[in-house]
Amino acid sequence: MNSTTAAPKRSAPQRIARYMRREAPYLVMILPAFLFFFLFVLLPLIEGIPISFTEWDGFSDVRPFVGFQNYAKLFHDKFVYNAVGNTLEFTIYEVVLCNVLGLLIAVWLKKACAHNNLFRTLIFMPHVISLLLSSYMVRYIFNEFYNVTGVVNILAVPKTVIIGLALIAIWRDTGYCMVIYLAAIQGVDESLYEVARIEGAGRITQFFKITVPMIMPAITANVTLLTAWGLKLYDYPMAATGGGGPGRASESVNIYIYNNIFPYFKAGYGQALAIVWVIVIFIITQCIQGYLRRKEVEL
Amino acid sequence: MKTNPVLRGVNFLLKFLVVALMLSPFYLAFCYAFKPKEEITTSGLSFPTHLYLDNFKNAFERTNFLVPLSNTLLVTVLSTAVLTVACSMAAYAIARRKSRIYQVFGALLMLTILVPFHAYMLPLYMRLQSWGLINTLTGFSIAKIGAQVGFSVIIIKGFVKTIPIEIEEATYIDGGGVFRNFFSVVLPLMKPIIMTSVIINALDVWNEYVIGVVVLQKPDKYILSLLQYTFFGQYFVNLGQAFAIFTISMIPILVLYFIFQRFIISGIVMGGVKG
Amino acid sequence: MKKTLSFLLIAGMVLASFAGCSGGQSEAPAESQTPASSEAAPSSGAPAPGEQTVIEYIDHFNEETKVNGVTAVIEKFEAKYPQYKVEAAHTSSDTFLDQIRTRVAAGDPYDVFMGILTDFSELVDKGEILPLEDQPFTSRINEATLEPETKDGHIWAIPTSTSIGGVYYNKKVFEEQGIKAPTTRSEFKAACEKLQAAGIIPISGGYMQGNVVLDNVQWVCHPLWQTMGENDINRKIMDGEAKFADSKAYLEGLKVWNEIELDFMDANELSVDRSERVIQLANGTLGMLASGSWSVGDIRTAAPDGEFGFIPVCVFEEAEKNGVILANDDGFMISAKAKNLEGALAYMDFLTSEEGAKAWLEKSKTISSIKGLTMDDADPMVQEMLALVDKGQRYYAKDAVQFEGPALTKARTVFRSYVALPPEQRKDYENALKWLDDEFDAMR
Repeated sequence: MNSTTAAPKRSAPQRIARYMRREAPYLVMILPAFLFFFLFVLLPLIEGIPISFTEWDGFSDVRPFVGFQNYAKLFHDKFVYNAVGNTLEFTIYEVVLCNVLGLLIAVWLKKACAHNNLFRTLIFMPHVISLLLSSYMVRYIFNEFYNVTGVVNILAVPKTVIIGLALIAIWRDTGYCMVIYLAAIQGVDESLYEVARIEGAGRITQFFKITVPMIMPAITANVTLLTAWGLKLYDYPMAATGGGGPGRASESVNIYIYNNIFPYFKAGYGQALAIVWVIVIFIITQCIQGYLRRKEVEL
Repeated sequence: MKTNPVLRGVNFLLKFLVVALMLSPFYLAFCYAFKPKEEITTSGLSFPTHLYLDNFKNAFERTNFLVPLSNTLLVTVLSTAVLTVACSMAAYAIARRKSRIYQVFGALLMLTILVPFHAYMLPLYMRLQSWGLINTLTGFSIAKIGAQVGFSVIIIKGFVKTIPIEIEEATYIDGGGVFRNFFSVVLPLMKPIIMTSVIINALDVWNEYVIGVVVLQKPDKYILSLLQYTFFGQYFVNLGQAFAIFTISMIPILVLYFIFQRFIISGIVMGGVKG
Repeated sequence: MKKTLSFLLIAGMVLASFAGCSGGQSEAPAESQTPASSEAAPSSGAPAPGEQTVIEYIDHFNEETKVNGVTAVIEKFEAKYPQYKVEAAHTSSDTFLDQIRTRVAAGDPYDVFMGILTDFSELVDKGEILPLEDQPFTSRINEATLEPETKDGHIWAIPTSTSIGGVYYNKKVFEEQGIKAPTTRSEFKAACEKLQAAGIIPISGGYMQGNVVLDNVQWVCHPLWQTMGENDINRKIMDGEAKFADSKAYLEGLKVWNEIELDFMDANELSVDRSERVIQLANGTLGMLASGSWSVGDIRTAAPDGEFGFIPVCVFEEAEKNGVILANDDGFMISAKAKNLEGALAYMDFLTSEEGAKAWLEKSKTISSIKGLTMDDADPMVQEMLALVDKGQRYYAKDAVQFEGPALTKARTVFRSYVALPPEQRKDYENALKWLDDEFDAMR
């Protein structure tokens, strides 16, 4: 018979054992993914941190320690701000347009009929192409356009080059968004729409009051993901504008990091920048995700 | 119910235009692949006067094409299989369990998506080298799986959250265990997102080149994406051959997509919810 | 799900067996036991009698003509020396530097790799490169070309071809437009104006890439540096002792460059790379191409029957003072810590022998640095280049200090940004120089 004063206290080892018994299957489930991630991403990343405190040039044996100097320097570096501005501009275009277009197209092609299926397949096709090749394809299309119409290649003008890169991203990623939203929309209970129709709600109302709330988790996932992709901008400018051109108008943060680590022989500085940028991306995506999660709950 | 045929026709036409716009760069690739160099510069976008096959022939020879093709196939199948198994399990656990350890892991996984590969490239290279995995397809697969895990888990996780928990509770009440619940109840419901993630993962592995450049340096280990570097050089670009290779490289992955897209899009969804 | 999983597994096995059959290297597990740095490991599948060692070679040639040249050389080399197998990798120049450095940093360098002193001066300083002045094959090379590869009394790279920098022009186009090949600055400008009026792109280098931009700056500036006594201005800028704004040569250089080139830049220029311009020169949509002798093979392939001439960048009004720029183009280096030193040296020896050099020249059509190698059937363009050199209308790149090492990439980036500036800013020369200084300093 238990004492009447309090619940029986368990000793720490007992609590741990109980926890393990309950959680064991789940821990097993995360183990493989965790191992890969830990050994081949996290650990190297951590090993890279000491480098940011040095002035290492990337290959010599000597790694002169400089403390936080690199970190201090990067806040004064005007190229950092240039790169951040470029990257943010790109990200905003990409995230907003890909998701909006992707969702609209998913709804538009929702019905599983023959021509819709074909169109869905075709719209996803650009996503099949590697980043390098898609950049080249679009760049040459713009060049051909110039040959025919004399309208300057959007990628050749500093003011418009980011829009040009965003176009490549939209071309490639709208299909991806569409696919994810399609999967999510498939999961929405048809009966909800029935009820709405009976109550006289129009298509647009149905969309905003039923579809959007029900697929909120997918929206959160997509927006967060595309934001991360956008902030990691690297491949498109490398291929389509020769690594940041014209001048430095399309130099993204990752390109600047890469340039420091390799061609500029400033691996320590580049590493520091990489770490700071990762933290920035993390903060941005966490905020976005947090905001959208709250919306999920609300709706 | 829209029965107005005119509106339906306009709808169809609009869809067609959107799709045509999306596919226009492919048209360019097709033109370039089938035209000799001189024609490409003089008349870029016009339909090829005749199908010039030498681009394909030369490109195949130059790159010893079957080798990178088979390498890529192997790596893609291997990595995608591992990713699918590992990530669907992990995503489920993270989506369902509240305890701290999963949240932390989930947040860390976000990190993989945020981090540029170059930030951890050098330490990773040294680790792989000490394990003798440089210039091996295994090494490449491992590096790519590590980089892709975060992404895969996150897209699956978002979907798992939409599966109502009541379904699983039914299994537990019946006396089933965690794994039984997962494999016989939840997994079938996850089919759409798993199919989607298989395709996305396969694509990402197929197209991966940054990791390939670092890990696979010998020609006999090249994968298809590295071949692009062969043709887009510093001073001279061989557009015809490059796009010939590109066209061919695209086909297997498109085939895969066509096979699997039925699963996603047909009604094999949430069978349990309605019933 | 089980059905799908098994489908995946079966598909995987089928594909894997497919892969195994189609001649490629079989799967990894066997490989992972071989340590990355194999000393005398027999090369895969080679039925060579006795021991065969591997030589690891890498270059960043992408021009078909040059890749064919390398393949021909390697074939002949392996035939002559069956105990060696060359594993050749050709990458793009973007990743080339990184690959070399990554392997060096990991203690596993390539045996032979493409490079000249200006590419890898920092590796030389760290002792990663093998000095070659005592090697027997070094004496086969033209001393003049060896000089730029010398530092601290040692020779670090063997140059195999010389580059001659200047301007190609399409003879047919010039004839049709009634333009004579320019020899002075004002003639050059007039030629550009006439071409532009006729709707032909007057001149281009293909300025999408920074290295092309820097090449062109140097072709304009070398004559100025060398005639105005500023041969070491770049050394001073790199060391922080002087600024662009202090240099009269750079001031004049910017003026000339704008006047005869940048003012006539095609609106699309910043999105076009040199390779596309080569083809445009060949088909007549481009009148003049600023490039070097390395483009001969490609131009000839694009227009086998075309007629092209070569002139120097006309910086001066006095025709005789204008000259083409000679520099080392392709060269090769050997790692000091190469695993197969013997093989690497044997390969270099063969490369510089008459047999090897001829095999290379046949395909690549470059200008060899090897003494006494006659070019009987040199392309007419090359003949024009060499004629200019013989007439004394030439400058040696080695006579002035060029940007090297980390400063090289910075200079490329800076000048590439310069070219993207709006014309008013670009041509405000004194302030532009200050701007160049700011950009360059910000990258220190």
